[in-house]
Amino acid sequence: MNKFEELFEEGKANVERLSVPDELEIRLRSALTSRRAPRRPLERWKVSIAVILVAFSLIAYNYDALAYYGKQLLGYDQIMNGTLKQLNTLGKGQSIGKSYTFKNGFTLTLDGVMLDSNQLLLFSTLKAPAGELEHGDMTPMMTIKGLFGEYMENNSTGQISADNTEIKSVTSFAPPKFFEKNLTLTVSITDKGTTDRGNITFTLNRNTAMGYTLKKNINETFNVDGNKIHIDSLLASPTKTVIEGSVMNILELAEAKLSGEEHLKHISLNSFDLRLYANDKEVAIQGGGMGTNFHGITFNEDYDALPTDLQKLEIKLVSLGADHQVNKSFNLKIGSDNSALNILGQTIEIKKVYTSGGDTYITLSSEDGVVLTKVYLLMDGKQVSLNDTQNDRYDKIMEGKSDKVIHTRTLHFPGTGQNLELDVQRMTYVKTYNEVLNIPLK
Amino acid sequence: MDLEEQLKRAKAGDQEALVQLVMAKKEEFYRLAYVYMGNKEDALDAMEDMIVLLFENIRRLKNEASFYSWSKTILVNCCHKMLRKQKKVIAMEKVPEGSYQDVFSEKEEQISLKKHWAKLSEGQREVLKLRFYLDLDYESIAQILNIPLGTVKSRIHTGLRLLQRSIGGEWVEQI
Repeated sequence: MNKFEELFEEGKANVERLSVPDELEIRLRSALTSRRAPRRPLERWKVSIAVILVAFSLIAYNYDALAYYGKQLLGYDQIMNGTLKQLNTLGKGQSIGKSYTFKNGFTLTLDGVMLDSNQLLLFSTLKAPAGELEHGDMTPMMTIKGLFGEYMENNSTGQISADNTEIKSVTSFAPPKFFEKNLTLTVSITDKGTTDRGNITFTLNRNTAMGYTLKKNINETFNVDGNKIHIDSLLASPTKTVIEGSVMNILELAEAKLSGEEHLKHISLNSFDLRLYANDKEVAIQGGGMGTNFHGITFNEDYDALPTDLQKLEIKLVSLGADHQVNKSFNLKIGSDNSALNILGQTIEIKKVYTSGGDTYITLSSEDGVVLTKVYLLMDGKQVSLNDTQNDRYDKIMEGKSDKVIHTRTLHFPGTGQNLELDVQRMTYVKTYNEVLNIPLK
Repeated sequence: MDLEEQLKRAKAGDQEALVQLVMAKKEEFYRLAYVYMGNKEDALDAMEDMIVLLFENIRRLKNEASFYSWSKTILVNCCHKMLRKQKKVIAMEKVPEGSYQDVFSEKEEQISLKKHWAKLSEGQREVLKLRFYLDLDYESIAQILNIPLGTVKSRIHTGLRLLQRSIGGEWVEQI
């Protein structure tokens, strides 16, 4: 057979060898049940109709005055967290009360906004004729345009009313630049394949903005087993607290590439556990993000707002998952009586080794976060690469007070052999450090 | 239950009927998605996207006999969309087993023939894979991709010729 035919034969054989994963049916079903409020990326916008409403301005010289003029936003209890609820009760927002009616009869009302140094929050209500919300993708996409730029939606929480006639949402945007005053909110909705877009303009009342409560340049580094996590800054505002940092700055990234030792190659927000403690109490984490740019791998972690009577502030690196060299092989035999492997202090249980359709399968389980990043099976001395990993399952089990997640999966290696040896060359696992960084408040 | 009955129920908003319609040809769908996405997780994701779109648009399907080719077209579009996104996004999800960097280059060598593929346009690769990996005939490919039959034929023809030039093997007239 010449190479030319081989190209297709091999591809075809690979496709024919594919077995449909068992989880397919469940995943299809759950995709449909969670269909009610799907998030979709921006669609091509077709027509833009600008509805210009007269902006009413609120003149207030300080927040307390606004509490008097402004009114509390009603109906958002379910989707506001404790901090937002409190701020809302205090009237720390700006009422807007402007709407746009889409061609299909839906009306989006911008009830109000709340602004501080970390984010601009939009409170909106989407109203629809009875039951209509059930059909299609009815979550409006939002962007905000100012004089000098566009601000994208960061995240959004919403709730559909019991009678399917309205969705109340809180949407977070990056805070507009300090000179931005007149903003245009563009809302678009996709119904039956066509997109309808409209604008709501509003004037930001800077007097209602809440600024920040604590701003700190930290510039400290957690250095654990040669892995560095830099903490650059902390910005606390009345709605949330954001810690920014980087995993590897660009020099370290280059160095790691050159030396070939990339401990943190697979770093993700899940791989390190960074917690914030205020007055010795943990501050609830709300989310985070990660990106790579010319500063290296940067991240931000979002926490709830800090307490007002702040006396002590600490950042704690609880644990970090990194990649380590192993280079060990372990004898395995067909069946389910293999003993557990102990690799770098981590236990990997071999549940079952079996052959099926001429291939060898190894079912193993470990704590979540333990991953064999470079693994082979030696079949009678011949090194065979991993084909794929199947049937991943995550089980939560209680151990003493805390719970942990056990990850069970099956490794599939093509071919079989008499003597089987699992050759583990590299492994990623999560190590606990509990290192504390004290943030001076003065 | 026959196809017609199930389609009727799916059109009436019966989610389970729709799931069963897809499951009835699960192999065809999964393999099609896999050929595009190249791994299990992304193939499953694409199928999830597909079924949501099917559910939202099935009322508009007029010719019921064409349900499967219609849904495969949607699946292919979902795959295209995901691939476009993947180009922009670096995944930060859970690390899969055997993902250490040099393992990839090893896999790459195992299928060194891949480099020949690189010489083709995306459209040519797509048509060739559908034809030879999935054994689809020209008619079906044209239907799924929503392109004229002539375009399918010409892409296969030029694609094969380019491959032949790249590999230097024996030229087999396939058409």
